[in-house]
Amino acid sequence: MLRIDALTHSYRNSSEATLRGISMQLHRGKIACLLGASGCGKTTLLRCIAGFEGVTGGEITLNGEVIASAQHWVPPEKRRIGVVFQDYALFPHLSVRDNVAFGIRSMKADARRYKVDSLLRSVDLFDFADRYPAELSGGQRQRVALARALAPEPELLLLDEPFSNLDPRLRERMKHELQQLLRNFGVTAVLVTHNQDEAFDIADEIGVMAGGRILQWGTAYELYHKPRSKKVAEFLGMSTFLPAQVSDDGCLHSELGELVCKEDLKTMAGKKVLVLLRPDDIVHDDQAEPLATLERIAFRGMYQIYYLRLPSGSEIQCFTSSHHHGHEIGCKMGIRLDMQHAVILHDEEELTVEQVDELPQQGRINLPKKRP
Amino acid sequence: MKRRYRFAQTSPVWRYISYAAAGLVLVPIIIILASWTSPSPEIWQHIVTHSLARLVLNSVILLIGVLTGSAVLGLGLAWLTTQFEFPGRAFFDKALMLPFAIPSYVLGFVYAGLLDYAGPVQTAVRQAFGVQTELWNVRSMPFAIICLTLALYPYVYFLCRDAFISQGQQMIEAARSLGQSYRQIFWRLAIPLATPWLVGSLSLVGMETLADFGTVSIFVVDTFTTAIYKAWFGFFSLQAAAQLASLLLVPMALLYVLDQRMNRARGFQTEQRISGSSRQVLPAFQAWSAFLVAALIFALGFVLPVIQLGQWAVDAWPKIAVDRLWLISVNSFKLAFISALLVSGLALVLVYALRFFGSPKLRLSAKLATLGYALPGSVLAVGVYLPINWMDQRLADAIEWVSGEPSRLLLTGGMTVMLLGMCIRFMAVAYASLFSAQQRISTSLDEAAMNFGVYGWQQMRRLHLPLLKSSLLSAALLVFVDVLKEMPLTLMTRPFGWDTLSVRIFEYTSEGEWALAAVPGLCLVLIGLMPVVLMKPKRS
Repeated sequence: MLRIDALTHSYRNSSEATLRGISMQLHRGKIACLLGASGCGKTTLLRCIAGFEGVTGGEITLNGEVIASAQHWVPPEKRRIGVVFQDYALFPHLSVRDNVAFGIRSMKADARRYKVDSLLRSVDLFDFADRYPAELSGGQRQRVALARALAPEPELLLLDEPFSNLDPRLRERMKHELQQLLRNFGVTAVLVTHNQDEAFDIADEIGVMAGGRILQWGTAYELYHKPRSKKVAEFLGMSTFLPAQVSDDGCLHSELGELVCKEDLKTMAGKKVLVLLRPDDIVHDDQAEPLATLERIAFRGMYQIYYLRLPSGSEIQCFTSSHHHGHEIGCKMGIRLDMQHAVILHDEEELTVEQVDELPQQGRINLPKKRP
Repeated sequence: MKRRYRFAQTSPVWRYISYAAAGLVLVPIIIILASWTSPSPEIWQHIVTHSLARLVLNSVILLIGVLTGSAVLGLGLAWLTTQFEFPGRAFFDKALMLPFAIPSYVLGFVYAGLLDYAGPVQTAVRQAFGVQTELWNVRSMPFAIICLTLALYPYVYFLCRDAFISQGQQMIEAARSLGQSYRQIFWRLAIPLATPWLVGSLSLVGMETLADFGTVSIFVVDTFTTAIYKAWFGFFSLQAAAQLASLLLVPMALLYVLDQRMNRARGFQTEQRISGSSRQVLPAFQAWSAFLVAALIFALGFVLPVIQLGQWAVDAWPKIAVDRLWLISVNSFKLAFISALLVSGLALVLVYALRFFGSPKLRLSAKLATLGYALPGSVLAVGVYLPINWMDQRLADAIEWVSGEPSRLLLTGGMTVMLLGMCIRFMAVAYASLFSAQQRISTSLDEAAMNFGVYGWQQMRRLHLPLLKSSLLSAALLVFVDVLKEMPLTLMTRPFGWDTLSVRIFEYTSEGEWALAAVPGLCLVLIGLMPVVLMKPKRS
C-alpha cells in the first residue's frame, strides 16, 4: 500500500514550493491517476515517489516502510518501484530482450531468460525479442518499457504520461491494453496524465492536482458528479454555473424554474447560489418553452454541442445527437433539465460545495414546463 | 538528496580528474605570466630595440589581412551556395570545405615553391616577356596572407553556411515575400543574423593566424611565434621566450572571450533544411560567374596544391630515404595516437564528471580545461617545458641524494612535455564533440538505469560508452589529425633527433627543398582529408 502524508517539495534554487502538503492512499492492486494541467506538480510527485527527487517535508510510505521524508531517503533502486518513463527511456543499444533483462541481472541466467521470455509473451512481444528499440513502433516501445519496469517485480509501478508519445488512434487501443496488462499483473500503479479521458478510462482512483496540491481524490464518477470545488468541476468536462436563489421553503429557483427542494437548504434561505450544470444535465426538448438562443454548434461526430444563451445572459451547453437537425444559429429552442443530483456552490465562495444527492421523489427537479 | 546520493554512488575520481585537467591548463599560463618576475634584461632589451615593433606591426597586418580575406571568402561563398542555384552548386557546397584538409604551412610551401624566383610561374613569365629581374618577392607578407586565408576561410564558410541553413531561412523567405532584394536581405538580414557565427568563426581564424608558425616561417614574416622560437633556440633564453609568449597571450585572451561570447549567442538551432525550390536560380551569366568564383577558390585552395604536391612527391621519391620516411611516419602516428587516446579519454571524463555531478565547480573546471585551443603551440611549448624541466631537475637531485649517483633528466628528454602540450591544446576539439553527443542522450536513460541501481562507472560502461562509441571514435580522429598537423609544439618539445612529418616539412622548407617537403606534406593532406570527408555531414 502506498501512503503519502503532508508531502512537500521544492526545487533547489527556488523559493516556490512545487508540492504543498500532498496526502493520499492507494491500496494494493489499485490503479491511481494523477490528473492535472502541466506545471501542477504531478510529475514532480511521481519523481518523489520514484526517488529521483528528495522531499522537504512529510513522508511517503510503501507497504509500511518509510521511503522518503525530510530526514530519510531510500535510493530509487532500493524502493522496489518500477518506472515507465514518458519517452520510455529504452536503451537504444540493447535489444528488446536485453532491455527487459537490464534490471534483473543479479538473477541466474536460466531464471532470467525464463522471466524475460514470459514477460515478453505477456506483453505480446516475444517475436520481437531480438529487435532494437529503433525498430519498434510507439506502442511496442511502450510495452517493452512496461515489461522492463515489471521485470524486477516491483511493489509499485509509476507511469509518466504513458500515452503522450502515441498517436490518437493508437492511444485509444493502448489505453485498453495497458489497463488489461496492469490488471493481469495485479500491480499497484500510479500514472500521471493531463488527459481526463485517459484517467477516467484506466484509473480506479483519480487525484486532481493544481498548484502543487491534490484538490480532490476519488473515483471518476465522484469527481465528475460530486466535485468538491469549482476548480475540479471546471477541470473535468464542460461545466456551467447557473445562478439561483434559495427560497424559504428550501427550493432553488433559477431562470430555468424551480430546480430542487430540500430540507437542508432551508438554512440558506434567501441566499444566492450557483448550481453546476453539465451538458448532459440539459436535454433538448421541443415541447419545452423556447427560452434559450442557439449561438454556436460544435459538431463532434458522435454528438454535437449546442452553445445556448439564456435570457439572463448566462451560457449553457447541451449535447444532442449528431443526427439532430432543424435548429439554426440564432433560433430559440426549448430545453429541460434532467438532473439526478445537484451541486450547489455558495455564491462566489469557490470551495464550499453543497451536494444535494439522490433527490427525493417530491423534490425532483421541476421541469420548466410551458408556462401558461 | 538525490544529487548527493548520485555523488556517493559515483567515484569522486571523476571530479578529481576534471580538476586536475583544469590545473594542467592553468600551470603553463601562470608560468608564462610569471616570466616577468625573473626577466633576462639584456636579451629582452635586444628584442625591444630590434624587433618588438616589427613583430607587433607584422602580427597586426597579418591578422587584418587574413581576417578580411576569410570573412569575404567564407561569408560570400556560404551565401552563394546556400541561397542560389548555379552549375555545380551541390558539389561546391561540400568541396569548398576541403581546403580544411591542407595545413596552412603545406599550402604555404606549395605557393612559395610555385611562385619564387626559380619557380615555374616566374620562369614562364620571364621567358615570355624577356625580363631577368625578380618580378615579385614571394617571401613576403601578401603571400603569407593569401595562403593563410585560403587555408583558414573554411572555418568561416562552414559556420556561416550553418547559420544560413539553420537560422535565417524562414526569415529570409519572409523578407523576400516583403519585397526585399537579395542585396538588401544580405546586408540587412543575413549578416546581422549570422553575426554570432561570423564573428565566432573569425575569432577562431584570428587564433589560428596568431598561432601559426609554419606558414610565416616559410614567407619570412617575423611574428611572435617565430620570435619565441628564435629566443629559445637562437638565444637559448627560455625567459625571453616566455616573455614574448606572454605578449601573445593578450590578443589570444581577447579572441577567446569573443569566441565564447559568440558561442553563447548562437543558442539553440532550429533544424530546418533549405529545400531546393527555395534557392534562387541565377540567370546564365551570373550563374556561370558564380561557378567561376567557386571553382577558382576550390582550385587555388585544394586542386592546384594537391596536384603540385603529387608531382613533387613523384619527382622527389627517388631521393627520399624510404626507411627514414617510414620512421618519421611511425613517430608521427605514435604521437598522434597516444595523444588522441589521452585527449579523448580525458575529455570523456570531463564531460561525464559534469553530467554525473553537475556542480558549478565542475562547469568551471571543464571551461578551464578546454581553453587550450586559445594557446598557440609555441606558447604551450615554453609554458609546459619550463615547469616540467624544473620538476625534472628537482627529481634528479632527489634521486642523486637518495642513490648517491648523479641521475639523468627523466621527463624532459622524452615525450612527456610534447604529450602534455598536445593534451592542453586539443582538449576542446574532443570535448566539444563528446559534449554534444552526450547531450543527445536523454537524462531519463540515466534515471532508468538508476532505477535499477546502475550508477557511475557501471552506468558509463553499460549505457554511455556503447552509445558514444562512434562519437568517441570521431573525437579521437579529430585530435589525431590535429596532432599530426601541429608544427611548433612538436618542433620545440620533441625529444632530440626525433622527427615527425610536420618537423620534417619545417626542416625541408627552411632549406627551400619544396619537392622533398611534398612527400610528408602529401601524407598530411591525405590523412587530413579523413575527418573532413567523414565528419562534415554530421548534422544528423
